[in-house]
Amino acid sequence: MADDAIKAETAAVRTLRDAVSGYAERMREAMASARRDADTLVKRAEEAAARRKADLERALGTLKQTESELARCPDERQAIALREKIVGLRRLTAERGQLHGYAVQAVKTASGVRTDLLKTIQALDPVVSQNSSVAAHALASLEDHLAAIDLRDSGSASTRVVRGVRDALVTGAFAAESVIGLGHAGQFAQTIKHGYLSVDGHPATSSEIQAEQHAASVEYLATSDLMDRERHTGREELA
Amino acid sequence: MTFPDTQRQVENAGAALARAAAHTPGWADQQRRDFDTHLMKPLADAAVVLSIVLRKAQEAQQKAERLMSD
Repeated sequence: MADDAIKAETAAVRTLRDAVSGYAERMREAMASARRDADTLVKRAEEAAARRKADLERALGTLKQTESELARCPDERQAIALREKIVGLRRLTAERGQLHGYAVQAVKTASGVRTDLLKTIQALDPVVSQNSSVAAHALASLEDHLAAIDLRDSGSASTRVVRGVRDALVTGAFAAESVIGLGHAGQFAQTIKHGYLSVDGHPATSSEIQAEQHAASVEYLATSDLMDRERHTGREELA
Repeated sequence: MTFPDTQRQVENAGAALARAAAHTPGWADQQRRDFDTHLMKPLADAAVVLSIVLRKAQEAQQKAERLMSD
């Protein structure tokens, strides 16, 4: 019975440790991918803006040249043709100016996306790396201790050992996380609180995030909880 | 990857972590709650926040694409 309990505990711990490691790896990949995508979007928008600026300048150059030709034109029939050409060129210039304006807006939109993503990643990256590292380390240690338990002990003794080791390690992990991660957790909370996650004029405020999380049935650790923890730890440190 | 692909990856990562944490036996005690609250929960929250920002990034990308299209 004790053997089965330890095996089940070991398997559960290993599953959770693997899940934490896999999570951290996928999140790191996702954050790197998001950065690349944002960079690519900004670059494409900038290239489009540069191309359209060149188109606009060419149209303006042709218009000016034609206007200059008209000013020097002695022949009335030729002047009529030039005036008609100028009307078309002005329309073309206006269209290209509008397209250039859109491209400039696209650059601003893309740059906003990149800024918001970078701020978010900057806040999340330490939380992901440190919390997953602390959790994975604690779970690996727990797995080692479980493997070292002498199964010749009586069932109840083994169970007590398992529980004691687990509680000690989990408590230790919590203590380590409190020391290492809380600064970043506070930063993370501030990021949400101050609505840094806005994209394209639609701020993802803390209430919006919480509403979305609630809708997705994802329990959310409120910003105030993090802040309370931070203040609590601060008081403990002062004491 | 595109923003939607990345968003799916993030959501899958968060869901897989939640599944693994939910089905771990023998942890129904205060320490387990501490472990969840202070280590697991910030990880799950990170996935949710990144997913939301990626969805907004996708919306902004679509707007930028429309502005860039001829």
